[in-house]
Amino acid sequence: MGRNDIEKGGMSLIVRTIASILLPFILTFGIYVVIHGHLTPGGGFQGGVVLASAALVVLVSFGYRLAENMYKKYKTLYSPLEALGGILFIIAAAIGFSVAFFYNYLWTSRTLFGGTPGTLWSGGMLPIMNIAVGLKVATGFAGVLALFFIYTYRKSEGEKP
Amino acid sequence: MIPPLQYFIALFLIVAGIWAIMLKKNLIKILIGLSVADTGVNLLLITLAYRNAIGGAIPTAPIYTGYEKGMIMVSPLPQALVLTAIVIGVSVLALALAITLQIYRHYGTLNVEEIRRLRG
Amino acid sequence: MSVIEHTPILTIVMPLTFAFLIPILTAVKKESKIPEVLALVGSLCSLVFSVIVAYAIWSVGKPIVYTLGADVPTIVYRNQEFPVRILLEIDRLSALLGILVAFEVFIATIFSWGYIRDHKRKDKYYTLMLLSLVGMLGILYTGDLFNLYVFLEILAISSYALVAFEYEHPEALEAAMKYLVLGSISSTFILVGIAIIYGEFDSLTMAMVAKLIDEYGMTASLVIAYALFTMGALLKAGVAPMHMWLIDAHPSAPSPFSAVLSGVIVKVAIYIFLRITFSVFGLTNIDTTSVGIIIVGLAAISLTIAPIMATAQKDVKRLFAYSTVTELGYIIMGIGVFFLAPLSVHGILAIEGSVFHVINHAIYKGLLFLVSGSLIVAVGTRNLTKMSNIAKKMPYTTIALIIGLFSIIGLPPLNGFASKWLIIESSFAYSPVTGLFVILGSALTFAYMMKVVLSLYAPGGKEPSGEVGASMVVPVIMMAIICIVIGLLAAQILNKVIAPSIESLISRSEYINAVFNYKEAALNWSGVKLL
Repeated sequence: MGRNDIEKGGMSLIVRTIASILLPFILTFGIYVVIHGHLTPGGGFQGGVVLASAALVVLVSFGYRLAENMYKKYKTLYSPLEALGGILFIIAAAIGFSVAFFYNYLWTSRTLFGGTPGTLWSGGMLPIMNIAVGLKVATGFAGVLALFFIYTYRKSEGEKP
Repeated sequence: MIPPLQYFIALFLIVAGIWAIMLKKNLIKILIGLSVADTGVNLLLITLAYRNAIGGAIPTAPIYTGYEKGMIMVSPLPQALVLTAIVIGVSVLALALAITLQIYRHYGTLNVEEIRRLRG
Repeated sequence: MSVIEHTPILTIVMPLTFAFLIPILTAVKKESKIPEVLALVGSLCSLVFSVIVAYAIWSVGKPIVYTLGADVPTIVYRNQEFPVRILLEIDRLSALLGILVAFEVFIATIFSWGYIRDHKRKDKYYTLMLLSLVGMLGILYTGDLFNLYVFLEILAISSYALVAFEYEHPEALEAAMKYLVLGSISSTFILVGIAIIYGEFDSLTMAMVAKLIDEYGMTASLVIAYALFTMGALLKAGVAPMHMWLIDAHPSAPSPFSAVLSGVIVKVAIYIFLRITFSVFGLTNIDTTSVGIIIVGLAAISLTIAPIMATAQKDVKRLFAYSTVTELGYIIMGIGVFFLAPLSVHGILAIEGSVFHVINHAIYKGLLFLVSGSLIVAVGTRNLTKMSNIAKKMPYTTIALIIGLFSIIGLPPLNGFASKWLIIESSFAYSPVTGLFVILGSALTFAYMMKVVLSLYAPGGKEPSGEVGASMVVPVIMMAIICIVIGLLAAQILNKVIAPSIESLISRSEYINAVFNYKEAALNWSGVKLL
């Protein structure tokens, strides 16, 4: 990273520098969209897609070698993270089990996320569910995009995919 | 826009998508037709959310940070439906593209008339 | 007793939780039996809870309504209030089919223990199997139109992925692609139907839509919505002439999932059609004669084209897939005769025969596909002309196979006889033409099933290496025993199980009132006599 020559499948130095500068902004914006799902348009799915587009920026600008190294290091982490998001969602739904299944327990008993409607700390169970769905969507899409990228480059280089 | 025009556009998108699925020979074009049909259905669902202007007030989308009494909103239910339908459409498209990649590896072509080893 | 009160939603959520636990626990500890154990526990939980739900509904007698979330924000409509929620509304037919679905997936999971033991992607297989169970149970238990679409898509996506599971064979990919495109078209039709109904009535709860249709009558757009629903549901069910995807997709899936596909997934599509017709639109609001003529026409095509193509097959799983289309023709014929003669004696017998045939076909088609899986593991091929000497080396499997084949032909005292007799008798009593098609289908079924039996005993070909393992023999023997038991107790099952289900399907006012009197219809266990 940061060398002057062009990596295999990567782009030039200018593109790589701008991508590394932009990356924290994209991630912050994605987390903002996820957490403010009950106030502004957005929520779990939209924020998750923005977070996955951060992964796409890295993949396209830094090339195939970096993607392959990252994939080899973290290969076992994609599926469990995604499933963890799903489990968080079900646990959040099951907290209000005393009345019915999707009961918004935190809102009506005015604990953790109870507050006046229109502020950030309100909405009860909704921000927790948004975070869970955002985690699931982001890791899912990032994994799928990484796999497509690595598969296509391996095939065009003639290696076995 | 006038509501009947949007219904016709949504219907045109759905028909165009199904036409592309039926008549095109390249697998990627069939998947594009599937995506266009999904977009048409989502447009139809969103168009149904409009509520007519009552007493001169024009309905707005329900994002409010300063709610005054007497504001008319469009119905938010189809917006949740469309969100779910978009997610489902994207998931099906992702699965279809993964299967298409593998088909290209095995058959070497994306022409639907040549991917026909199962017959009878 | 708070866990038991929530059994309707627990039936759906338990497999979902286990499906999400499988990737986490597999990453922690690899190369173990964790996916199989979790899948077995998940489907067993679901089976137990669905039996509890069915027991509750049979004791109470009316449909049960379960609100997801508090039942407090309500809308008052003409002095009756109902909760503005996503509801689960379960009546007897849903509960009965729920037990069938959970049982079929449970048996397939036991069989998969031995079948998918050395596969490198087996954790994803079990996750997808549990997700398809979640989708099916969601469709059966829901009382809300868009929820129906969401669960239908969960079922569809997991079954597209499972058909393409063995992606080293290119035929599986081609079959999955065809299935995907046609399944998505049918889901799009159903979604456009839901959109039209929402546009008319601004409500998505099935009972509310039914009440409003009763008051305002059918308009032209509602007729289009009903046509779209019918087309989408029948395309997903795979009746001829829309059966091409079924013939390619069902053989390409791994064998236990082929059993689930042919056994219950196509039946859930028939259930969607029945629910939309009887409970949402109602028999008095649609023109039953024209719908009946169309459905009987489709059944006649299924009963003639499919068995003729089946006799020419050499691949055993493709032959069984054609047989599924034939049996679907029987089921659709019974429903069509009911539409042509609604609420007459022959009509009610016909639809009772159809629902009974749904249950029987799930049992013996599951049995046949599992046996074909055993043959693939033991002999190594799917081609009927290349197998020989099965009976001597694999005795248990052969006994179960013979029982399954005799059930599907319709020999007494097995279960196929009871349901086929009902359909033949009622369709013949309605008109000789419909009876002719049913008898033709029956005769051709005999032809190709005998072909399977004869190829097993013919000499010359690969021999099996021996009997397959216990995890693949036990489910098959269990299904064979159930075939015999259902066949012997057919009259009791018909009177006590099937007839009340049809009664609660047809009585639409009971369905509507269960939501509007939701405080009594909630699952209060004081009215249920526990054991």
